[in-house]
Amino acid sequence: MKLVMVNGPTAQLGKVIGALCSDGNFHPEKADSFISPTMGYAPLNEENPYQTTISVIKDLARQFDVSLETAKKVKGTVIDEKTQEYVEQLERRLADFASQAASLNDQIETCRAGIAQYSHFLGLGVKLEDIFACKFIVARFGHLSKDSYLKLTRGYGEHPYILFVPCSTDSDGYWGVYFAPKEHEDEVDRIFASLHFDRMHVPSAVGTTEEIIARLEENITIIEAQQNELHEKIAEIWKTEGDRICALYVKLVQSSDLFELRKYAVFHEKNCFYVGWIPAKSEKRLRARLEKYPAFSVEIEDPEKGDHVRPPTRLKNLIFFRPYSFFVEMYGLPSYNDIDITGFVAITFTLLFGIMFGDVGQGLALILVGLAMWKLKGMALGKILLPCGFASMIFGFVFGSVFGFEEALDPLYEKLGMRGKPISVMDSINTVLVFAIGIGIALVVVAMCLNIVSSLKKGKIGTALFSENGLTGIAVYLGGVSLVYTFMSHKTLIPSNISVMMLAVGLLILFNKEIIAGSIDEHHLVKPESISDYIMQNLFETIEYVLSYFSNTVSFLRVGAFVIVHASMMMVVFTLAGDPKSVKGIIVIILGNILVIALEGLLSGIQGLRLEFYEMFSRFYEGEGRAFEAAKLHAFSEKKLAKKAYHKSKSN
Amino acid sequence: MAKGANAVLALSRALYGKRLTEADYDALVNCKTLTEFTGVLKSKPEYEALLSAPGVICTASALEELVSKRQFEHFASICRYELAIGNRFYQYFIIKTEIEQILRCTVSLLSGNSEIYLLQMNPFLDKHVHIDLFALGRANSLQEVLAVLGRTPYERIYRSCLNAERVSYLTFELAFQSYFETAIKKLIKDCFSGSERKALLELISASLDIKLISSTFRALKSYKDILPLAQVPLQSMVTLTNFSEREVAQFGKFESADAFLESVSRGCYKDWFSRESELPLETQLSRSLCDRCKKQIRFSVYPSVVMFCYLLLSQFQTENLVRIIEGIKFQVPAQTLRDGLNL
Repeated sequence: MKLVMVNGPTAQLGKVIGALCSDGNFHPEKADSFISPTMGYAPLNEENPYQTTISVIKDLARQFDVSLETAKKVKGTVIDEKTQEYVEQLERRLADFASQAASLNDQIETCRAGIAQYSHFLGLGVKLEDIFACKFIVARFGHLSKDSYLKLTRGYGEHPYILFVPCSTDSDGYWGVYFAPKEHEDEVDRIFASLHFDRMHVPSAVGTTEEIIARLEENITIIEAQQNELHEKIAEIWKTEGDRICALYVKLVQSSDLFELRKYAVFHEKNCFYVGWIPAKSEKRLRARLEKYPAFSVEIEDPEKGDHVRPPTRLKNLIFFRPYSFFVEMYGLPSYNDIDITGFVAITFTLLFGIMFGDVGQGLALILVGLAMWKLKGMALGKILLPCGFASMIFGFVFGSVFGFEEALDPLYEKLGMRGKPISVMDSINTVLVFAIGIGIALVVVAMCLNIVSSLKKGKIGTALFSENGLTGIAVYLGGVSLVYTFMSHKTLIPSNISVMMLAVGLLILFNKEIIAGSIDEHHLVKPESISDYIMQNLFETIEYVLSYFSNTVSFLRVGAFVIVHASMMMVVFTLAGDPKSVKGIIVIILGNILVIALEGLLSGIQGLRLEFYEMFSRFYEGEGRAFEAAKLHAFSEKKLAKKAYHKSKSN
Repeated sequence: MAKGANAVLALSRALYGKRLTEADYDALVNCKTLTEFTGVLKSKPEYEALLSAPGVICTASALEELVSKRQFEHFASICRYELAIGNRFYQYFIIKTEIEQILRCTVSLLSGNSEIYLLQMNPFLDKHVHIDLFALGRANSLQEVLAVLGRTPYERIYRSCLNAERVSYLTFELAFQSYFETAIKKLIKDCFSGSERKALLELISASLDIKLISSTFRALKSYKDILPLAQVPLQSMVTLTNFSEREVAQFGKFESADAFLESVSRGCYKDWFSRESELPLETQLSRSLCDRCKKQIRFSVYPSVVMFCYLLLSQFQTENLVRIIEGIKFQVPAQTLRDGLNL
């Protein structure tokens, strides 16, 4: 990374920011962290002048359902004081059409509501004006529930002044009209009110309900024709002005993006100061771009000479390792001067997963699932499943398992001249568990070695040599492992007296790590404030180191355990299936495999990740880096816009 | 037979699980309008379908009718299973409903407005009882009611009431109450035996005793001078009770309501209420009955007992809802409403 600092006239700042960010490799920083406050520079609180116009154009596009990113010609488009006036004028013209469209919509809704109302009373067979014109009879339109209708017919069936004419039914009751003589209007209204008659006020109209509905439908047709005319007028406007608006939009968004980036700058009178980071390889091209602005002074420095702000981190890995940066980012990016552990994670995680999931067929299935996730859904996890599936296939070959069939690979072993499968899981449980511990010991030592490398990179020699995860820690750990190995198996890895020496001396050094490593790294003698506190604290810390070595190592037993679990689960599946050649057997085996793939896949992934984060990362990795985030400008390149416009005109 | 009995048990317990909780009642009593009440009740699974139907009217009478209808739908669904297993205990609910309808019709006629009954009657019931409720609704006089009751066992009782010295609602109520208790006692003795019979009799007697205790207390407290209890032939009327005959005979001899309560608090209902409590006597007794019903639902192995307890609780729930509806209509404070609920 290189730190870029530019200083020059504020008037050209926008163009300079554009030059800095044009290749997408510039990470802006708040400039006030890189300049002394006494210089008089301060950030400005500016309102983005382009946002209002952009919002207006977006609203118009949304309202009229047009796409904005299809400008055929952006070059030559200029944003000036007339731009806003032009946009507002267009907005006013279109607003007028919009209100006409809304009014027509309202009219259609009114007609539809009318149709819905009158539809309930189809079949009445009488002209409404005749009903409303009656002098001695009143009519009430409405709805009566089924229960109430039952009460009416069976309770008031013989009432001389009640006549209810049902016109239509719905799930709840009857729509209809009741008639009553005017002089008994109150009594009948009271009865129907008690029956919860839901009265509907039908607007007076001429003709039968069928005729009224037909007229309303005609009205709807006319209004819809008017709506279409209106839409054509709007489309016409958009056809003539659309290109210009789109070009303006593109320019406005670009200008807005650049304006937003101004907030990182500090200003003093007519000058400004701007800071950011670029990858080292971009330096030459950047200098070339900035030559167009001689008024700006440009300084590009190495990060060590930068201020207290840490450089951001951008991971750069081999293509095989890149998917695993997902896990590294989950824990935390490495600091700029820390080691990139993506490769380490890629290898160890794949290995651990492969061991725990070992099955040729299920590994293949995992590869297919990973492919589907990656290609169809674009999920990052899909890319990780591919190598994991492949590793599972390899270990599946070692364990001799294909979709749980333990004898399927026997012919292959015979052809290869082997006596049988390299490891039969259920017959060599102890071997599997010991193997898992062995992997654990190896990985713990590797993690400590990485800590040494990382510490040396940071210039912390004391930590590299004398910490619990440094050289001393490795000595203590291996001494302890050797002694335990000797005790368990009566065989010697390292001669016992040497192991004891390594352990004793190592523990003594660890007990005094604070003084020894601290004095070397901080370049002065570290003295404890209180002897008793020092002894107590370091005693417990030393005990804690020993326990952590033990627990981290034993934790790897889970790798072996999951190998056994996997085999056991498949045993259960086959036990349930019975005869594998029967239909029931085949179905159970297929379903069992699906279940085991899902369950074991999840478990192996989680356990693998746990081992990475807790047993290994805790030994050497801090993850306190911050990501390199290049400033994002809307990528409206002329080529892209022209391509989109071409495709749009083809589809039209 | 066993499957049908298990079905009754299972259905009763399942429906019990859907009852409104205390938190639901708290939400309902705090509603300010019937529309709000409808909205809150609609969110409960038991009433969702009923209140989501189009055209639901948010008036007190419409809501009360809907809520009562829901209760009877539960009755009908469980009683169907009872019928399927050849158990006649479902007739308890039929007889109870029929007597209620007859008395309601009578009270509306005696009040001079024969329409009230027809308008308040729930047509749903007509399908399940042996009387033509619509014909009852059309009756304009007590004689017409007698004609409607025709060949039912109620005709004789109704006729005797009509021929009494003083025709009042009380006459009808006492006569039908007595008939009800006798009929139910016989029904239970015919259908059940042993512990199941005992449990049912105790529960039904308790539900009737609650009314007896609260009516007696009210009569002694407020109407001692108008209608001395000694003049009421309680011993002949009350046949289904957990009180002993001697205790019932003593009822007419109490001088005051306090003395009566003192006596009841030493008897079989001593744990059912507390004289220090601020809640009304009837509410305390009903809540105690509710608790006993809940216990029976959880632990009893007799289908009819579990069914009866659930239906009793369902009835209490309906009464609670009606109380809340009326409370909202007349803007009764929420705490007052809550104190009157049978929870």
